Amino acid sequence: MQGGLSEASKTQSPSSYLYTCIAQKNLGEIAAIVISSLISYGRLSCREISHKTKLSVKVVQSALVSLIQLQCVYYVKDENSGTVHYTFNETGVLNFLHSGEIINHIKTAYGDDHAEIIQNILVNGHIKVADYINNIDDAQKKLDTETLFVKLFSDKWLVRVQLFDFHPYADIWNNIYQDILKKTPRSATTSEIKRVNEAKEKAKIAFVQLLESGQTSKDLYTVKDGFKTLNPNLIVRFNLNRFQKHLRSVALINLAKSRIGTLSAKIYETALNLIEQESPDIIHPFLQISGLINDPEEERAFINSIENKSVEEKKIVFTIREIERSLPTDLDLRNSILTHNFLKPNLKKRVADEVDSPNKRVKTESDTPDLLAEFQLKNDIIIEEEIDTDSDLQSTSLIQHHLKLLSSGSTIQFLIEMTPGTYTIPFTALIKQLKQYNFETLVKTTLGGNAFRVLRCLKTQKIGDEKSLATAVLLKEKTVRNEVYKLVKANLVEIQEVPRSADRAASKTFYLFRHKEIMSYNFLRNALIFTMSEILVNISNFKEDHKILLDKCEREDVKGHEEELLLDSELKTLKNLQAREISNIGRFNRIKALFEIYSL
Amino acid sequence: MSFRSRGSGRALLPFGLDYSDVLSADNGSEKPQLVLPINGSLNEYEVSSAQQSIAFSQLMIDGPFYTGSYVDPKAEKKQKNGTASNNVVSNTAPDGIQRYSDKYKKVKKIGRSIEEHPYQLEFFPEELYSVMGITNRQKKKLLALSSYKSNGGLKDYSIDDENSESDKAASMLEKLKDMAEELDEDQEGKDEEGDDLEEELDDEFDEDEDDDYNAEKYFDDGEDDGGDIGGNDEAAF
Repeated sequence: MQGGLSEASKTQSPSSYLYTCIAQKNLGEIAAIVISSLISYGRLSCREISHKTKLSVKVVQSALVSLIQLQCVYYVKDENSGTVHYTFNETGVLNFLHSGEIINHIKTAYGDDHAEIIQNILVNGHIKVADYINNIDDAQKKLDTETLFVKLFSDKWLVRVQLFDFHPYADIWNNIYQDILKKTPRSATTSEIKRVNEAKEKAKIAFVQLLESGQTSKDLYTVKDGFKTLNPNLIVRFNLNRFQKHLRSVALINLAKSRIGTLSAKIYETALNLIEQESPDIIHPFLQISGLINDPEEERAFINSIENKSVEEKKIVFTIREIERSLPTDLDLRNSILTHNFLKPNLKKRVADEVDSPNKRVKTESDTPDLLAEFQLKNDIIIEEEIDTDSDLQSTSLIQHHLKLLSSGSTIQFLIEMTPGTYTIPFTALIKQLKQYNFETLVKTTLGGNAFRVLRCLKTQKIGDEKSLATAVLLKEKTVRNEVYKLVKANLVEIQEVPRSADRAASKTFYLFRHKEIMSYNFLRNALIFTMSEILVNISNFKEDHKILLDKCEREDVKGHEEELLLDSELKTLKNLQAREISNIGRFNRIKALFEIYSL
Repeated sequence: MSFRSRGSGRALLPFGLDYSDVLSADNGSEKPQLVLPINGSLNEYEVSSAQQSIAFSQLMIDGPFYTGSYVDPKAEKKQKNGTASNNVVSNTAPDGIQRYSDKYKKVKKIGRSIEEHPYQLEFFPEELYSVMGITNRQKKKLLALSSYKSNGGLKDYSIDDENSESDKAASMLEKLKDMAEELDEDQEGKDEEGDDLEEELDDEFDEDEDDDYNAEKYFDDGEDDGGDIGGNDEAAF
């Protein structure tokens, strides 16, 4: 086997292609080779990596130090042989993938200083708080930085690093489970299945206790001069899970914007920000352990139970008052909700009734301004001041109307009203609808309206042949055949052969068509991953085309003095290259946003 | 094949396919099959995210955990003249030719030891400590072994034991007397030497053996001229 990054890193899976591209871009070719090897073989020791990759042991060890530091690799030591085996950890690579958006979001939400801390933590993987603070000379700046750390930690953008974060969950679970199984004795009255199930339940509790250990206030915080600060000996890393929750919220807000409206989406955004921190994890640790929860029904029940537990503990529950307090002050909700009664006379009385009793039906704001103007002209009534009895920008009734729209205004239930004034967000059901809606929009815009109609029809029918499809969709059979062919080519529809004769002759076979959501989503996800990788390769290719100029700019005497030392044409080329790179990364991020939806 | 005439036999199409479908199929075209929506221009947030992403990549490349590019071990051996170390990415171009501009290129160091980065050692397996600059090996402590000496290694002194103290006193007295006599002799000798030295000095000044500077030597006052008459016809001046 020749050395260097092999073609297999691209061809073995789209995820491998993407991860090796990202690793090569950020950490160098050696890291990409090691990661590719670990993805191929699953679990390897240092010597085995050296043998497979044709790198020296020292180079492999040096790369592994970097990869462990940056959470790109797990390791586990075999108690009997003492050999250490390494496996791939995608957390670190996903940190690099989202790095630009992470830093930008923290900068937007908190400020430049917070973004600087997050950037430094991402670059270094994990750091001790004391090491970071001791790097600062100014005493006042030290105090300010400690405050920033407390803010980021309490908002869960930073989490504590413990030893089990460097071991795969499967191995941790296996050790706990085997220990408990050994301690659970066999008895004549209890069957083996019951004993195993008991041990599993106990192991689950122990596993959760391990993951939640070391999170007490005493472990995390100290009081210094009357101020609460982070324990200086605490080792922290960036919490990718928290950022993935933020991405989920952004996707839901965009869905609300497209289905309901911008203002309702703003209120929805405020609601999501209130509960984002405590919302359920994207993937629970139990679901990351293969073989623990096998049955799809059991998995669904488990996910629902987590969400129900969060609702019972009031973690993802909010009230109108909380929304009112948290809304941005410049948000003007006046005239955003108009009722159907505004067309009737005695408007003043009617509007007063509307304000007092918010349980009446409301209409959306589409087209109502034009009707209002027409009504004004016809009946010579000044409506604005009468409707706008409430001069408050964000009155409770308006907010309530918007929340009602979100809960029952469309086919998608964005909110559930548990008790009057108290709401929750059904994440599990919403994610399913989010994926469905985005998928249908993609099919409509890329394959056409007819293909979309056929797909919708197939979904409702579950399985159908050409004739039944044609009658249901009201299109000619030939058109239906063409559209089905397009869908089959795009891997969205499966074909089921139904032979009519014993010899299964093709002339006497008819075909049924079926659409499976999970398969289609996985295919779409892989296609998006591949496209993202191609964009990264495209960027490195056009940079390679201009290598001489870029190397010139990297020279220490040229850096900072480009405008003096370079020609006009070179400066122009540099500017175009920069704009091209930004444009490509922007497209990369757009595809990544869609990829994230199908990773939920 | 050349002997077959074109259009001699119509190919049988599979069931369900029409000629119009076959002719309209555009298999050799490089055009995309699907018409994808056009990407709009990036908004401010997207541009900012892209810029942060590019800056972050550069930070990682310049950072302490960059692992470098793959170098073929054979090529590396040729390039190595004892100058390039494993931990440093050489600033020489890949073709191996050293250039004047190489001095302006940044030399990257690969890997950091414990002295350069504050690693949290408890999170790393022990087999990686060697590359982090931590040696676990303890030096073997050797025993200080000595050779056997019959006399115990002590110095041998030969001393006469009889009347040792009185002899010592007598010998000391004699020594002191000798010293005193010597001193006296020295002093007399010095005085004589001092006189001799003066006479010598006077004699030196008095005895002018070299009387070149004696003016009288050159002066002849004529006392000896009377005895010398006649003999010479030349006039006397």
